[in-house]
Amino acid sequence: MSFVTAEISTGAIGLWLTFEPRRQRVYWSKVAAAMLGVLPVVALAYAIMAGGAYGAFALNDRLGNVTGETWSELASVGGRLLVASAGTAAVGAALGVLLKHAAAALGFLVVWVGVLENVVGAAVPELQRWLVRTNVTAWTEGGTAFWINDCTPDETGGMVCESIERAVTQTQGGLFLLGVTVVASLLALVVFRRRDVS
Amino acid sequence: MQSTAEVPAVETRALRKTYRSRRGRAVGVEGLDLVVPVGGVHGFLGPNGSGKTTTIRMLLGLVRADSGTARIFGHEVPRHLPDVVGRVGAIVESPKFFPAFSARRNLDLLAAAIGAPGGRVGEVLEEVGLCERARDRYRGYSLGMKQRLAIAATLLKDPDLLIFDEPTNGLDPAGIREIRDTMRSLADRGKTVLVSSHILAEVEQVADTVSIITRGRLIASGSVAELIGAGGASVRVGVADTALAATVLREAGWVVRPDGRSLMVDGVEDPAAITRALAGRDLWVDELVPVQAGLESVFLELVGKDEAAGSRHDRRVRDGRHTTVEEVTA
Ligand SMILES: Nc1ncnc2c1ncn2[C@@H]1O[C@H](COP(=O)(O)OP(=O)(O)OP(=O)(O)O)[C@@H](O)[C@H]1O
Ligand SMILES: [Mg+2]
Repeated sequence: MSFVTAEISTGAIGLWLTFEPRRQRVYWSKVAAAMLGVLPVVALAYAIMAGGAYGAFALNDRLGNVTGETWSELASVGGRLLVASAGTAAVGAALGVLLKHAAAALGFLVVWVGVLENVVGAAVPELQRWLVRTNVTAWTEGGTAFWINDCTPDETGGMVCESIERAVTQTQGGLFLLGVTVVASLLALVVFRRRDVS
Repeated sequence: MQSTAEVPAVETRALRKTYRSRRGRAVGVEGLDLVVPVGGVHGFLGPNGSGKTTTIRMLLGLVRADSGTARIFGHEVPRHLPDVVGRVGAIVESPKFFPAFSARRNLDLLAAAIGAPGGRVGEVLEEVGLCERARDRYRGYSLGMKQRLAIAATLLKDPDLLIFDEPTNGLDPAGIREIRDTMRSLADRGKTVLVSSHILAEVEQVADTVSIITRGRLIASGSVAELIGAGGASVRVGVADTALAATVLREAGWVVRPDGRSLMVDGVEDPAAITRALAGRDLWVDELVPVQAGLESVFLELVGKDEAAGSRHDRRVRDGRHTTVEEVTA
């Protein structure tokens, strides 16, 4: 993110635009750069994690449990994680362009995911289906679930509540993340194309 | 519109830009008609806040005009800017490079972006005299070095049109002179240089043509010589009977204006001719001083008049001898 905003907040973008005035191109090249920056890091971290798990299995002499299926499972989770990271990078780039400062964009993300979503999730549990957090989990882990309390008044005037599980499918998670990424990118692109640069 | 078949390097028509500000809309540029001919150094002059930088930003597609059109080498900008951007090198105010990178690294990045040949970065660093410090971080550069790096960056593309917005800002006299020489040599190589400034003595020494704007409008344009009194200096003539002398000189075809207790005669090629003309009528000259009006006094006069006259349109220099906008562009 700071990679994207460095140019905007230092003003170097003005110089760049006198070399490449096609803003759409400049924008996508930034998104690409953000993804290229993020993907290797995520891939490496995941590989280390998987390697660690393998090592742990090996030490405990339980490698017999590791089948071809385990590997393909690991690979597909890794793949989905990479896709999610790419989406996050694109959204990060979009936020960077919209908010102009890395700190602002980062702050926005932290406040959104860390604070706003918690508050919303607690206040209106049904809305958890549409939280970024839920959908990211659903996508990477192949589906997730959340619980809501369904309360009905009983004869004595009290409430009877039961927890109901609601499932969120991987497909929903994927489409949701795709939607967020596309909307954020298009919005940022429109703003960037029209913005006065000084 | 142009009298010559040649397409001007820069041409704007009724270009207008307002900025949103706390007090409603602030005018940046107000219906500017600017013509910069191909070749030579063109001074773009105006007091602070008159809209020079705003105009340049619009030409470069950094800022969106509210209305009006602008063309660079006949290509409408910003729409067709990608077609000409390779021929335009520009510095807008003080350009920003990546502070953590060296001059060379910054230029390498830009060169890569435009596919400039490998040796080009070295060449331009050489040209602006930055070779020795090229490996130091940009962060540690002095103002003058930053300005030179900016010029080096504009030269990367080997452009036909160079736009410099106050390139001598913060430079020492030697640096100013170097930049002047650079501009001159670029012009001599057939490039067009558009240089904005309010240091008039500077521009006067290097510019072939100038445009003067105030409050976002063009108030005069033409060659420097035309603006400051073509074909020669003004001459201050001291004579006892100024009224008669003025009549005599006007009859002889000079442009005469009173100047205190003497007369000012503009555009004099041969001062001795004045003496002869007056002596022929028994008027004896006791003072004959060539006065170089200079761009600065013309500028101050024009700007002063403009500000006094509000938005009155027809502005002429000294008794209508000189160029107005309409004459230049017609
Ligand atoms: N980003 C902006 N937001 C609001 N107003 C602006 C902005 N940029 C310029 N202006 C206003 O537009 C007018 C023209 O400014 P501009 O920078 O073009 O002047 P200039 O001729 O370059 O002046 P200087 O000689 O000081 O560089 C000024 O009144 C200025 O206040
Ligand atoms: Mg300026």
